[in-house]
Amino acid sequence: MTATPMITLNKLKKTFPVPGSGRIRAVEDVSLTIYKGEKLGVVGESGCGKSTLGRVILQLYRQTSGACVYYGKTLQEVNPRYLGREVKKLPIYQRRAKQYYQKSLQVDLKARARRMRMDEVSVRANASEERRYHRYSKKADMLAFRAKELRKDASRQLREGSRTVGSLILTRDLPEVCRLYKKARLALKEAHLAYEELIRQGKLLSGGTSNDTSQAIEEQLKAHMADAAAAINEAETYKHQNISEITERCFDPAYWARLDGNQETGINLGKLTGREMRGLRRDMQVIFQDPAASLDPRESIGKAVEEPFRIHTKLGKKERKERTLALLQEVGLKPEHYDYYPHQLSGGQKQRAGIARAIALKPRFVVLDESISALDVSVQAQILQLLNTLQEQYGLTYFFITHNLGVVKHFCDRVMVMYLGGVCETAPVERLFKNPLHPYTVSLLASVPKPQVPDGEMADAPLTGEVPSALNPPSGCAFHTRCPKAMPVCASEKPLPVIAAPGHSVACHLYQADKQTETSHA
Amino acid sequence: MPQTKVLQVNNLVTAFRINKQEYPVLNGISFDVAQNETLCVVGESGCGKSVMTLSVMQLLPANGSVKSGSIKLDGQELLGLRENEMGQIRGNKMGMIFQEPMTCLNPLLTIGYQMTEGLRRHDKGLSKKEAEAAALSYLNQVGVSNPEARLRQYPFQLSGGLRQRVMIAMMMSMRPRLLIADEPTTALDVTIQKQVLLLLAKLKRTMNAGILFITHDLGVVAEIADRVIVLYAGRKVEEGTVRQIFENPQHPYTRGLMAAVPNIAEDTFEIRPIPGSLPNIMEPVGGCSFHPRCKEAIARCKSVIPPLIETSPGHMAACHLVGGQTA
Repeated sequence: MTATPMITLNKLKKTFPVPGSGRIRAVEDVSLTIYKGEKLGVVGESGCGKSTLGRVILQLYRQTSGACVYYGKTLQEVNPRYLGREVKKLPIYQRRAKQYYQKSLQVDLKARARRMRMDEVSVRANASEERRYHRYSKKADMLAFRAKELRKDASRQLREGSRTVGSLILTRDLPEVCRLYKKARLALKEAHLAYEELIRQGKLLSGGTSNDTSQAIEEQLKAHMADAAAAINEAETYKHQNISEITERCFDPAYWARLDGNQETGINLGKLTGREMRGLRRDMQVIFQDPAASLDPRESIGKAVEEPFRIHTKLGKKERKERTLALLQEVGLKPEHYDYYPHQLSGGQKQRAGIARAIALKPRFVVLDESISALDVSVQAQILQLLNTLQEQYGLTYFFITHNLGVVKHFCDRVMVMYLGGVCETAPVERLFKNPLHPYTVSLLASVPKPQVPDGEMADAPLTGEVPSALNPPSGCAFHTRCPKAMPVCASEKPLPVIAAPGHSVACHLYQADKQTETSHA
Repeated sequence: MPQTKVLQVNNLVTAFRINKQEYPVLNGISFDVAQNETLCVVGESGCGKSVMTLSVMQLLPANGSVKSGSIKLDGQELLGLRENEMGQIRGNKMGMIFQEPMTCLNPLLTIGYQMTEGLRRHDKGLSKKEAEAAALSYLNQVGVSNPEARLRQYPFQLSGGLRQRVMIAMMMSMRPRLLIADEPTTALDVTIQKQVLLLLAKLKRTMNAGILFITHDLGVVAEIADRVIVLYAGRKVEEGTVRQIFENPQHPYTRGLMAAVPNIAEDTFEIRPIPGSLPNIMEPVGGCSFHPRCKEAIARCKSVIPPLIETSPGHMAACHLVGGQTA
């Protein structure tokens, strides 16, 4: 499968402070890749953090730590401010890495000195010598540990730098690389201005009818883009050349490859300015559960659906209305609904209006936060059908938050099961329903009422008790307090996700023994 | 097996007054609930499910009223009773649980106060201590952990599942003959929903009561119901045992509902919604009210309201296409 990632989450965390009682850990270390064009279902009981996760991805909440990287646009297209900041910091990273490493060498020397004196002491042993021996040994261990930490700090600095330029962070010609990167950024900025000018002239949107000025601007745009690409290419020529001796690993090609792998091609959403994020919002939309709550009761449907055009485009009044009417038709509403107010529509129709607004700007990624839960079953099916059609038409990627496993089974491609802020299991839909591994997934599936008359008595509830508080989550595996298969280790150690089969990862001690720990969050 | 009927509803017509005009919401609905039986009422929102329960309890809003028909609880006619007489019946003989327990619990009073208040009001001889002991035993029965502490807590300190259990305990403590549950598990998580459904099934047996269960979740219906009635636009379109309804649905609307539910037990599923939506009560549809959305509609559906036809013992459907009446 050659799936291209749309968004990757890396150890994403979100906590909410609660005055007087600590922090609610709503999302704990979620690592995940969302692929382009897939329908990813997210399930779990209420309070498991699925909605919070959706909102953190959209940057409606800022993450507490971790990264959320978006690949729907290239860095060149957005050219974010943080890139400039990072480029400026590159020499600092390099210098610090060097300093840390040098320091670690000194500390290592000291440790070695202690060891030598330790050896001297150990030859002759009486009570006080014994004490001294232990003192030296303790100190030597401490120093060795310190040196190790310093070396870690050094590689951490290099890793930070490599996010922007990959293994170029190791070169002696870093000032030159920085200059080239700055040049590229400036060129891109010019190109962006030219692009906006073109839009203002309405050329890109209506197509054709190019006049002389717009042609000139187009030339400029192309020239700036070429400049930027040339500068980046020139910077690339410094790669693996003239390596600076920063740490011992600097000459190891395997290490270069690792640093190159760190280079971010996507956009780190958490580092964007508010304005840049707003620009990206047209790519990332959300549809909420309660359609009535997301529509202004005093604004007509037409006005509400038109709003994205007013904010994100420079379309004229007439054209806006035209497009809005086309949108309404696309989601199955009638032209006369343009002048209706939300209270005049049924729940299903309101949700259609919400969908129309979300897809107005042709987004790439849509978070559906329980979008069909408030609707009747017959209407639910209508909306699911509409979502399917839109997905096929525009190649949308859905992050489908729901508690309805039946819907997940028949609508999504992949499922992620969450419990108390953490991910229990991620798998393709078919696999998860045929072969659920995590005990929580198993009990969740058993709890779903099936529209088939059971033979004999109703089975016992597979899960007793309720979800513990996220203010004070259980130690080890969060699920161990309710888990029918809990073992002693579950209460003390947090299970790491392991890959049980291609695309199927599970975080449970039952599967920990023989499997290798997941290294990449694929 | 001849069972005592707890609730008998006959030809119930309920109408709402909007802008000085009467609009019927229920058009002659008949059903009954026997002892130790769960009757599920299924239908889309707006089909009259909740109006039906409100009519039975006589808690209709000011602009709604029962126009005709009869409602008998344990043989006693409820229509025409005075408000204070109804007050004696509600709670004592009829217990109710709603979707959102917070709307029934007073946020300013402790659980203990609210539970004992009901007990002491209905049994005047009960002392405060005795009432508290009774409340404790009921909380124990519905599986509330640490009931002593719960009695001193306020509703906001409990989770949704616990609140619903408290509501069930309060209602149980009156030992009603009929239990009306209006979407009691819709707001709960599936795992908690399962626990509450099991609890209700257990209570029905121990109290020998009848349950009138309103829901739109067909999965829940399959698990808990003995018999099912399907409502559409204020009319009963199908009635039967749970097996008859699920294994041999007769009315196109019932079949449509079944097809619209993504079934977790099936491997393949094609999303097949019922097109359109419920008719507005202010613009009634002539003939069978389902015909504008029905794929199988024939000319007669537009003009004649189909009568209920018994297709097999206990299984009735109101459709021109059933029982060889195709014309």
